[in-house]
Amino acid sequence: MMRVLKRNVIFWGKNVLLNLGYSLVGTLLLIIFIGTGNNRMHQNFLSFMVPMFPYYLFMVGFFVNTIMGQSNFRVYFRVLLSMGITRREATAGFLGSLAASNLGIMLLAWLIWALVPGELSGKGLQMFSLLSGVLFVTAGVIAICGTVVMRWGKIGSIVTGIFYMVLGGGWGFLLSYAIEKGLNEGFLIWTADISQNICRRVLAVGLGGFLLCGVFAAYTLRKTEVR
Amino acid sequence: MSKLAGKGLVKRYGTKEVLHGVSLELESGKIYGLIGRNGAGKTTLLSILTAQNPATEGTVTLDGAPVWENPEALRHLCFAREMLPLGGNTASALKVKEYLRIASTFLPGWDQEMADHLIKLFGMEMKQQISKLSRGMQSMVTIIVALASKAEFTFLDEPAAGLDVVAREQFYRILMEEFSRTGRTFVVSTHIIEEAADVFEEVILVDQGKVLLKEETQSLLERSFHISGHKEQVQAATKGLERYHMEQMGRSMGVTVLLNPGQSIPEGYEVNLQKPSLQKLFIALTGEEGKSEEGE
Repeated sequence: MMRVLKRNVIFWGKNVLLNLGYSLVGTLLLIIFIGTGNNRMHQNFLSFMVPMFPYYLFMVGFFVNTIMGQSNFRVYFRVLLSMGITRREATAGFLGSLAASNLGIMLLAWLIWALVPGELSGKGLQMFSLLSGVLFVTAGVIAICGTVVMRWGKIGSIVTGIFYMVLGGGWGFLLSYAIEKGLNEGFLIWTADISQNICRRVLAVGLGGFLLCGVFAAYTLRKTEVR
Repeated sequence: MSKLAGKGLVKRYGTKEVLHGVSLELESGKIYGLIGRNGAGKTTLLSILTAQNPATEGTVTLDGAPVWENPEALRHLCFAREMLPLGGNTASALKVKEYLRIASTFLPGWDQEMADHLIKLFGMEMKQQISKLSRGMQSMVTIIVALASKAEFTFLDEPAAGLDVVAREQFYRILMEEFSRTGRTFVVSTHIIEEAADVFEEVILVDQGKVLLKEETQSLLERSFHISGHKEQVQAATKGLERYHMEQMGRSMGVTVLLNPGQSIPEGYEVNLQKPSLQKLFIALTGEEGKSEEGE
């Protein structure tokens, strides 16, 4: 058991760290890009940028997890099976890496908000459960899409491709709308009204959904073929 | 002594049945040659024996324990499958370095020293993507994984494919050295039979989804003959024997026979007797005219 755990931590751990690295770099680039046009950031760069960082980290993490998670699953699943590991282990490793990536993002965000107190950080901590829940819902969707591709091959790829196109288009629309309306402030005002109860429910739904998606993946891939 | 056994293995893809109730036992400490024509079911059989693909029917056990989704059994097996172009085998999308890193992480008996030695010997470009390697280099990647895995039962699917004659010679030499040193079991599927014949202790001949025969190479060759001569003489000499691959040219005839215990080639006929090579025998047994028949 320890041997199995160790090899999966070694293998998937590297992917998790890579995902976190990409997320951090992406967040940094995004915050610099958005910050150049924001007056508040010019006036007080550090005190504004640092607490805003986790918000963007959640957003970038969502994209990085989606892209890398999907790609990792496609590439590694069959390779791992060809190395003589069980389908259960491969699926668990993949789901574990998704969860670990999420936990890494959550931990970083929480640390920044906790260590840099202020209005923005306080709101961030209030929304922590909500954002984490959304992240886990995303991980569940990635698990389903990866499973669909593995199980149904080209048809699965087309279906998930269309899904991601629609998702990307929708996200792009929302983002441009949010920027038009003032992304930071508008988002925060909207979320400030959401009660902690709802935030916790979203987290519970996210975690539950992720687990259910994991069960779906494990069941669907129990007889996957290696070609 | 470990034993890997497949019992009543059937594999269907939709309505197409590619393995028809194959039963097979592999003992440890042998080098098996798995030979068969394209599409005979060799790779399918190997992938089922190593639990990489599920059988539609039948079971595979290692010392009585089912192999399917059994980590304890799987750690004794390694199937180094032939690399396919992108789209088929996703391993092709990886760099050699990454692929070998995964192998070293997940194959429990991995011998890094041996892997390093083979990488150096083959002049492997570690940073190259597998799909961009030549076919021969791709084969070398699978050979490195198979040999360095140190798995008790190691399966190599067409390891010599794409290798030049020097590399093939090198591969079989390394395989024999490893076998002598460790006594591991190797199952090697190949089309290039002539060069490998001396290496195989036992040969498993697969044809049209069935195991046609599984026998010690030496004893198989000892009981096989190619008989040629005048048609009437050949027919008379082979009467009552298992005949394969009859060839006729005018009044001359050639036929391959496999003698069963107690049988011999009768004397007194003007025929030429030759010992066929394993490759010739393979062609005789699996060729279009290879249907067995009892001489009348």
